[in-house]
Amino acid sequence: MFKRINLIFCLLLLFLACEKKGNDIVNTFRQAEQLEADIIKDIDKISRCRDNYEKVLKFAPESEMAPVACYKLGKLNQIFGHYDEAIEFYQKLLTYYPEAPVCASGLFDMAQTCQLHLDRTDDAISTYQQFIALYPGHEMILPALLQQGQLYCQELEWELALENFQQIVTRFPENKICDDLYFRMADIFHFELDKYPQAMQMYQNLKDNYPASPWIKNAESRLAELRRSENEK
Amino acid sequence: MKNRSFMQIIRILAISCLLMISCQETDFTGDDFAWSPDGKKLAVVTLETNELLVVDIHNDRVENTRQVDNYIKILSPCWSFDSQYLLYSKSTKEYLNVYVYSTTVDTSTLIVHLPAGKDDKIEQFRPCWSPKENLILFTLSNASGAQQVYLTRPDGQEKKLLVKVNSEQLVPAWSPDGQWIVYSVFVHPGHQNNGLWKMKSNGAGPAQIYQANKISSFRWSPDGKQLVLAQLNDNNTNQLIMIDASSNHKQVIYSGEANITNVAWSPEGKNLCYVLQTPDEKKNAWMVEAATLKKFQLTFANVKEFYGWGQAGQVFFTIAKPEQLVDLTEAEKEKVDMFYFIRGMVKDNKLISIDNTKITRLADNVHSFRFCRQNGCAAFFQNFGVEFLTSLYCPIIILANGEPVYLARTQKEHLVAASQFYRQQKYHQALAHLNQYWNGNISKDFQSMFDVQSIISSAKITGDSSQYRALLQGQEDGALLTSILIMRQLKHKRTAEWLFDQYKILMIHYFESTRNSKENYNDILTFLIFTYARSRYEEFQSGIKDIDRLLTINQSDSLFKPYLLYAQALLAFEDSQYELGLNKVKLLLDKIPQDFDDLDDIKDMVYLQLPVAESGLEAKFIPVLQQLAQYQVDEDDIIEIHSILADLYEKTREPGKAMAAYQAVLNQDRDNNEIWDRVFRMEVAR
Repeated sequence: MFKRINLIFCLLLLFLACEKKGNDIVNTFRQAEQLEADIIKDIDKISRCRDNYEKVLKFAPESEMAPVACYKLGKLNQIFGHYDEAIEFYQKLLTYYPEAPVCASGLFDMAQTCQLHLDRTDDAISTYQQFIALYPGHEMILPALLQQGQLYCQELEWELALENFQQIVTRFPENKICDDLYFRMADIFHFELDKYPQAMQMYQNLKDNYPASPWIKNAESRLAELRRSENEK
Repeated sequence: MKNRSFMQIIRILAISCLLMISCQETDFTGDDFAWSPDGKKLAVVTLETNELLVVDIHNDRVENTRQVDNYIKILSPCWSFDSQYLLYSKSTKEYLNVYVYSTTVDTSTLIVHLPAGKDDKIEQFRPCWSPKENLILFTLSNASGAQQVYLTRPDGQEKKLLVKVNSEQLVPAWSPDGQWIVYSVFVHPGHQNNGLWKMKSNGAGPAQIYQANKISSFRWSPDGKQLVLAQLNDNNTNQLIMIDASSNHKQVIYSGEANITNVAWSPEGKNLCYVLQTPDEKKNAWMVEAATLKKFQLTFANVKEFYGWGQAGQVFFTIAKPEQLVDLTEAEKEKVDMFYFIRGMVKDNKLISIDNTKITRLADNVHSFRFCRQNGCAAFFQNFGVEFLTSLYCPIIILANGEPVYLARTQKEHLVAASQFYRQQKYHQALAHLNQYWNGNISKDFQSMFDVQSIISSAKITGDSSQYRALLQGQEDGALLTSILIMRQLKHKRTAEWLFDQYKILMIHYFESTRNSKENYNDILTFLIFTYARSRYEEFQSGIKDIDRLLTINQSDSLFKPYLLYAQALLAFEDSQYELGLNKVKLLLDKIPQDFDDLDDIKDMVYLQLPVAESGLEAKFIPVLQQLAQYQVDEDDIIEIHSILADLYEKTREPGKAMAAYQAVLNQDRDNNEIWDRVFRMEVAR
């Protein structure tokens, strides 16, 4: 009797579990339908947003709003993955409105799009170069130097990469990536350029200036290794 | 102009003018302005009057404008190092004459005369002053085609032949210290003498310092220690090369297929700028650090003209104005063209400066820009747009304090200057130029200058209609209306009102004297609309109010009031006052006589507003279009207007009326698939 009750109870539990799972799936499906309806409403908003920006460019190309509208169209295209169209709008912004404050952002975003989405490394490097030269005081100068430096590393242009990283640590010594950069520069001197005195100097700079850095142990190990090699010579 | 409606004329003019501006090749030599080395004088070659002027520049003013010469083609003014003498040329097919103007005795001396038959042209003449003394270097070719470099004094005496070279081309230049002369030689491709040569300033010791196939330009650094040259190699690549003047050591700055132009050293010699023009005609400016040869691109393939260095690391150049950034329909293109044309806005260029800290838009529609580092002033021509298919290039000086000075020499230039000052709300300066236009003092003598009845009567009595013609010209140019607007802004209310009354009398007289001519109305409409809209006045509301007053004039001509209402509607639409504009159109349609045959104008004017009018106004357009639809007889016109109505009814969610409009279209064109598509879409969506 007890066994029978137990069995019925287990079957009931099993049934309820299946029912719950079924309800979960149904809920998930219903949620997806609701989200889809919201997306369709948003698509309409996005489309109207785009049309309005385009209207500004059509009928008021010399207004103050026009360069911002051009930038926003580039950004919208970028967000939705239309990268070639995004680049087109950024280029129009730079060609026709170079004096607009929003150009700096356009130039940076164009560099990033080339780098991260279109795999156009040479274009990205030259675009970052232009950004760095034209807007040396811009708030995005550090990311620009950093990204360009990374691209130089990718292209094995170590000296150019070092220049960029050195600029960052000189101009922004308080920034939280400086210790990382010192270690990176030291490693470049050490392993890519075989410039051991400079490498040792960099590891030492890291130790002296950023004693709390998580790279300290690695730096000490590298320094010890380099000193051993020196002694052996 | 006959048998064309106003809107047709405006359209033709708008498109033609915009095409003219895009294709126009006015003869800018690039040397139309020359600042004296001490920054105290400016030489100007005017385009409208073909004069060579010299003006004196002080900190906050321009003085003593004097004419040095007056000729069809005056070229290349350039100043001596001590700013005492001005060299310039006059050129025709028959001769080339070179003069030196002395500022101390205020006379010009002919120093070179080349009569007809000679091969020499001004481009080969290339005169240039020594940087350290009053000596002029120039090149002439002899009968056998050899190039001869001469030195002469400002009085043309003691011409000394320095060197003779068998060369197709020879371009000389002084070193910055005046001790040396460097010249480029091109005999023929591959000749060993091709390249750069150097000699002492007295012609002694010519020696080749650099061999190159074809040198297109070269520049000394300000300290004289380096030379930069642009050359075309045998393999058709262009190179920009820096040469140490003492060691002849060379470094390549650029090598590639782009043409190299506008090479210019910064004033302190630390940087170099140059322009590269790629085979697809796009130009970019580049900056190079002279010490390291590190370079970067300054611009974005958008340079039109490059104007070199200013102060504090600044460079100047022009770029094109934005055009067709996104696709436009035909109707949208027309609306945009109309916007520009009615306002007299020119799509020419923007003048940009770049320095270490920022990129700045300085001015629009600029040509032949010249900045003076000594006094911080700038001079240029500004394109002031179209007056029936011509541009007006007025010379302007911008003083160091930012104030503009218009070197106006003609009535039209004075009017343009007045309108520019009006825009800047500098009404006294505007009035000063208007006084120049009218050759009188409006504030003091307005009654004698503008009493229309007296002027007309006097013309009849004396037979001298010059004052009447001047008044009509002023009405046509818009100067009379401009005078009224400025008097209002200066709070000279009585004068402004009196002038407006004269304006009304003149209009009545004008209509009566040439009654029943449609051309009158087109002319009246033209200057009514343009004066209020042009030169960026954008006095649309003033125009609408003034026309309300003109509408009180008793005129038996049945076309008079409809045309005035037409002008009001157009001004309202241009001011984005769509409801007001549509109300004026309704009034206009109520007043038009039976024989009014410019309904197309009215219809086209309303159509043009549809793409631009903000959404929500569709319902306002419908009654006007319904009224216009009653007048359409042509099949295409019926189809067009009912298609538009159907679209508007759909937007205002009146499917029944939309269907009736679609049916009206299909009654004319049964097999119109586009309309059937729209019908089906509408029905499915219901």
